[in-house]
Amino acid sequence: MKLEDDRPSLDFGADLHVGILTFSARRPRKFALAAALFLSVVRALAGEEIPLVYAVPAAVPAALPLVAADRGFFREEGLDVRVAMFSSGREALQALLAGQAQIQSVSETPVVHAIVQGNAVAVVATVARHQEAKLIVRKDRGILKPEDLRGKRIATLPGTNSDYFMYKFLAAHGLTPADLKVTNMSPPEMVAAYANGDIDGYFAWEPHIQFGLAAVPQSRVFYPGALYRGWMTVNMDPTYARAHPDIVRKIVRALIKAEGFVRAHKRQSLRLVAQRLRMDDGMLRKVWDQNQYRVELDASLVGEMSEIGRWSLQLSKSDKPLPNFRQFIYAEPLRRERPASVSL
Amino acid sequence: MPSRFAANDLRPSPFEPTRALISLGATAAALLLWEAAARSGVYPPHLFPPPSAVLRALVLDARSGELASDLAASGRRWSAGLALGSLSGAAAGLLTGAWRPARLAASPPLHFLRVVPFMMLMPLTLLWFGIGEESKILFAAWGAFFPVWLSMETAVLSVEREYVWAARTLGADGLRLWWEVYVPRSLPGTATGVRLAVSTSMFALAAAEMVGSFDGIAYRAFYCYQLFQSEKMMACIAAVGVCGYAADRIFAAVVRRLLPWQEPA
Amino acid sequence: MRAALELSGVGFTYPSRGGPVSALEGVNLALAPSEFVCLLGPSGGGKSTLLALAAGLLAPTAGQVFDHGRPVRGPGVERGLVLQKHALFPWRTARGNVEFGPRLKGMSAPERRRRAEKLLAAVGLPECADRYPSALSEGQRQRVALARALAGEPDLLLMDEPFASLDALTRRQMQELLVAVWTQGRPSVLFVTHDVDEALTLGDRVAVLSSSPGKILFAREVPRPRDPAARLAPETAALRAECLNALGA
Repeated sequence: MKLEDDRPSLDFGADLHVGILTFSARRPRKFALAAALFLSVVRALAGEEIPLVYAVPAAVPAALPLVAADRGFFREEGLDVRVAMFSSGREALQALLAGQAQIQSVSETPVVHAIVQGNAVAVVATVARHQEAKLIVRKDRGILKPEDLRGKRIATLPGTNSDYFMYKFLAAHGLTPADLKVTNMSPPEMVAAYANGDIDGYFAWEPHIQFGLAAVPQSRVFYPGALYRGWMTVNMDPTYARAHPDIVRKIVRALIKAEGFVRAHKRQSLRLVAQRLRMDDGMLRKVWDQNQYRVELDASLVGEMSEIGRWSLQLSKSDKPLPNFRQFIYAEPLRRERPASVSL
Repeated sequence: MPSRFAANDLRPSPFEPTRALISLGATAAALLLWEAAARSGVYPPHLFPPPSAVLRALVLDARSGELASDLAASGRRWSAGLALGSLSGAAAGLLTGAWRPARLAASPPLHFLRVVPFMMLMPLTLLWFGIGEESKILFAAWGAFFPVWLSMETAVLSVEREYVWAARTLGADGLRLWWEVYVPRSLPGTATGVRLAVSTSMFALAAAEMVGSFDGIAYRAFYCYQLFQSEKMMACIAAVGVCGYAADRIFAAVVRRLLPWQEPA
Repeated sequence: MRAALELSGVGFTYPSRGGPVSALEGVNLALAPSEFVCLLGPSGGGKSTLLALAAGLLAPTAGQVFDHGRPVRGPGVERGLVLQKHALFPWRTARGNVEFGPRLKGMSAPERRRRAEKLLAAVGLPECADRYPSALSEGQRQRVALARALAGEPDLLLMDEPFASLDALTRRQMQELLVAVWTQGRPSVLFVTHDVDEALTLGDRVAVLSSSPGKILFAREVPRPRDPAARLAPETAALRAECLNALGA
């Protein structure tokens, strides 16, 4: 779906209502006119009061949307945004695709998988560059360096950005998943299996790495460092986003306000996010500064997505062509709001 | 003859062209309708792939050998679990059916465990038995155990007094009476339980494969879901459906061979 | 001469929700060797219980049961049983049913096979040996059940309304078969029925049981010979009327 071309914006909601009224009325024209009038009055009265659902993962890089909702920045923009929290970004993305949410945040990897398989997503901003994806291993199982992973049982959740990090990490050390005993699990299960000794390590995100560290002090954590940097994206349905550029702009504005708040009030933001994620303050403090909380659309995003896209195609043994990811980024609202943040 | 359509009917039904035509016709019509709906564009094709796309994915997976290896992995776990669960279920059913103290002692906890959804037990299994093959087989066995146990117990309890009397006047007593009367008389009822277990052990195995595995058909479906590969996921579902249907038919045929004496219901 | 079967002051009480129920009370009945006794009683009476006591499948709560003077302590092949419902094991063929007793006694396979074939021929079903009961007619099943009971060479046959669910013609044939078998081997027979004409046709003697609690009301010799003409004799007609009257018909 192309987003940057200039099509007239359409409000499908209004169309549908008018259509129904026209159909059921005996004197269609008069009724259509009345209906259109009625709707415009209703919409004027309601303003932007239609509640929007923002699906966020329970993850630290989603700090800006959490802060924006908590500090009332969406409300200040005249938006009624309700935050729905999901255990993973993958699930939050599913809510968007199923039409149960209008906005959602997730790391870029699941978005790429979704686009590669033909789903329509509009990336309107990123709200964090993060070092979330990590590997934790048990030193007492003889894993001291990456090469020691050979033959070890390691858990991952397919489709997530920590799964992508696994691929990058292994490739960087001359390994493939076939050299390991790779097993699938959700992060809470990983922590239990890791503490139990059923697995020797796992690729996951926070707070699950911190939980693993707490359970097994004899652990070593590998950080992505320069190898891989994740993006926490903000996504919308492209049809909806294109039809409501004003709403998108307000969302972006609220997120920018949150960015300013987080910079100015780090302690307060940290406590707020910890509360929402049901994390210990101290635990969150350890990982907070590993991420940069910034509303932007950086030029490197497209390249990163394309690289993940190639991997995704290879992974799914798909014969589909590699999509042009630039077409799935809807940069216009952010460019209008803060041009300096868009370097596409 | 309404009994022909009874779910627990394990007797053969003669081949009737009309019936086959109706069954096949209905399936074909449903597939065509689905194809048309998917192609109409009302639903995005990547969320609601047409049967032709699913078939294409199925063929691709079959050709790459991935389908066969996943089915084989699940099949191994399933058959081991089904055998383990059925045998222990039958033994337990014989015991609780035959011996009142055992029934009084074991029935409440067994019924309690029976109604706990096995998805809820998954994390516990993970903690106790780890993530290896054992825990998956055990889980499939868990799914098979209850229907077999319950049907065996019921069958043993409903053995007709006349058979027991006749056998006793013919000189059967003690264990012989069990072996010669209670066990054979309970086999048809138990077979119905095992037939149920054929599918319940698959359900349980699917739950087990969602966690801590790297092969198996349910794992593959979950993996495809994670990667948004709807048609491949549906291909996995279709493969499980076909295999499950075949397993059920084969089981019914085997029962007919093993219990040729079954009375018409 | 010692009685082949003797019930002496037999009573049977079983517990139920409404308190103990007395099914039989003070039953005295003796069968001479080779005697054919028909036990008449209303349905739902204690007839089947009495038969189970005679077989040793139940123990009396009062009195005692003797087999040739020895107290009965349990079931045995010397007291063969034929029941109306579920007469045969459905999981065994006709032959398998007949061989059941001999097999449990440890008889060799060829020997018990010979015996089964002989018995099946005797009941007129030589060609049905390999059929399962589900493939046999009701009458055929009763024939096989008779053969199975005879396989143990019993000196007492206990039969619980074996022909009750057969049609009139089949029933007539079965009665003839039973009389023929009885004439040949001369076992004692205790035959439970609720059909007065059947009792008068088959029995040397008829005993009538009352209902709840079951007591022997009377036992009478049946005038002989057993042919249709004898049934029209005035003594037979009087006995028939007496029986019907006692059953409350």
